Amino acid sequence: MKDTPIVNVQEELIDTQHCKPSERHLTDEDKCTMEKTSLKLLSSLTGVRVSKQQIFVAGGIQQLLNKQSITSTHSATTITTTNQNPLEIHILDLPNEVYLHVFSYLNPLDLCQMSEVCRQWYKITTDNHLWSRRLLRDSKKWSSISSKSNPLSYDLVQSDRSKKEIYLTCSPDIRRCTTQIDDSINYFFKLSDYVKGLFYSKDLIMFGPGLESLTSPSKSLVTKLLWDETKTFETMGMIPGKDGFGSGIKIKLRNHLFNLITLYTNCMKERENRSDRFTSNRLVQQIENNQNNNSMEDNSLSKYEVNPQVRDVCRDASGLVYVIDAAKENSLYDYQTELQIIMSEQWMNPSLPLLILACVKDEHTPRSSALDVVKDLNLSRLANPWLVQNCCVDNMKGIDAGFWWLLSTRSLLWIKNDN
Amino acid sequence: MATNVEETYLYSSPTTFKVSSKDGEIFDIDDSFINQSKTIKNMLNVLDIADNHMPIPLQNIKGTMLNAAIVFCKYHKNDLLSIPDDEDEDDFERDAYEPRRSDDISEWDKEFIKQFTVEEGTLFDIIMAANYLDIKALLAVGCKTIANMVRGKNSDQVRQMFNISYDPPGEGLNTPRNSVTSKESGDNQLLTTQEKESRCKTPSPELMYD
Repeated sequence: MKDTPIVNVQEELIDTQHCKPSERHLTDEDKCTMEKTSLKLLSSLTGVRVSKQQIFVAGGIQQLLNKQSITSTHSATTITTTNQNPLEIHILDLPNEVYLHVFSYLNPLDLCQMSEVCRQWYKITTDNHLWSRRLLRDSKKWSSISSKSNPLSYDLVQSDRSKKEIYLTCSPDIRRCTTQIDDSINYFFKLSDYVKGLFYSKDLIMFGPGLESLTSPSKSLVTKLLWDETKTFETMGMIPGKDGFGSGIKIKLRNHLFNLITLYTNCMKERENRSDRFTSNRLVQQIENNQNNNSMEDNSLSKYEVNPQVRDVCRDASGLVYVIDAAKENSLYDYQTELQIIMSEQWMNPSLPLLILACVKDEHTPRSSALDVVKDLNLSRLANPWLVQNCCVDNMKGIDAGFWWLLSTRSLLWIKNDN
Repeated sequence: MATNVEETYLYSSPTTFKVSSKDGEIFDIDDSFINQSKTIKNMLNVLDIADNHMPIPLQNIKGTMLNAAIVFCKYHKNDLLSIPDDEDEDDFERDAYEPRRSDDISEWDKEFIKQFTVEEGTLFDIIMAANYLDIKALLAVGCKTIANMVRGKNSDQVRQMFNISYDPPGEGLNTPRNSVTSKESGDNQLLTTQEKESRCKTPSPELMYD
């Protein structure tokens, strides 16, 4: 009988446990006896065909020695239960496919907890395939993606990070869960930010096709901002522009004052009847050298440059807002060129934060995901810090979060990191 | 020959077969069970069983579990159509709009699964049986039950719940807090391996969630 010595040792062990009063921590003396018995046990294990339950018992003793905080009674019962019923199935006996099934019902935060349970669970829950599936599935639903949480950038640089790491770094749900920690660190910055916000206002430039395509007179983004029913944005005044450029609104958002300067490509009438965004566009103009070619169909970047007046307005800006209409039927590729022309300018400060508001008219409009916006606008290649924020013009959802990103210290801190 | 069997099994309804469990108990199974258990279905298609009175040996399953599975299949014989087909592993689109839920266990199933417990290990028994017999609905109920048990619990609670001994993975846990701190320090994707290792040092589990 190969098994007899082990059983003996186990019984011996249980005996020593039962002599001691329950619910108290192990003394040094106990530890000594435990060590002896466990050594005996381990030596008897060598050379013997080891079954899973025996390993489990040995593991239990090791744990007992390592973590003295575990009371003696607890481990004793652990051993007796495994002894009493050798045929009983333990949860660790379940095959991997069953585990994958179980874990498919859990969210990422729960999965992280499960990965700490034991070695086997760690292996299953950190499986790269599992996380890459999650990443593919969930990243379509994320409502905001920034340059620092862009899952696509990892593919671009062929990062050797695991999919799990990428998921946890990029998922807005996880980030939201951990913001409290950031806030406590940034407390000082927040305070100084608050004081600054009282005296100093930032210029934010808002432009983009979404400003115009979403303009039905009563429901444009700008009118919504002007008369915000939710009172998140307080209008403090209007700013007159120069030569039709640079007019805007002075807005207060959570004690932050900022000037929102809107740049339309054309005036209202022109907007209504034109086929191409680049004909009679006031933001960009054709570069003169190339005018001989004069092919309007080709919107290649080298042919256009930013209008000097627009350049003047942008020079003092502390943030850019690019508004697009992210309704599903629109092709996002069309929005790429205009953004690229502005962002590829030589004078552009590479640390100027860019907010992309992916707007839809109301919640029911089918929309392209934030990830699609990142993909189709080719944002991964952009040097500036950016954030894509899904928002809805009708109920203003998401808009304040986007502007808050531009105004808060966080985007400023990121800029510092970039430099 | 196999096709013949399939035909007889398809056309002679109601068909009954006998199965024997690990501990020698013999059960009659009918269409409801055969249709839901892919394993049995395949077995009947492949095996040449001319004599219906020879029990099919199911060496992996205890009698009590087999009985329970038969009861489950009898109850669920009519909702075969509602059970989705095989999980299509590559169909991301479908997945994207149907996140997997585990709060949709029906009342009957809840009562049914209550008779199996973690303490006696019977819950794992029935899951293993469902997995072996390939009964999708039963496997889903079992897995959902376990998922609901561990959801929102920390690792200590889970270890205690399932009586799992602690063996630290040691390779560096990618917990959110860990990765967030590395994100906050402004690192990018181009970390050297050394840096990465030092950053991924396993924090003690007690510290991680308290």
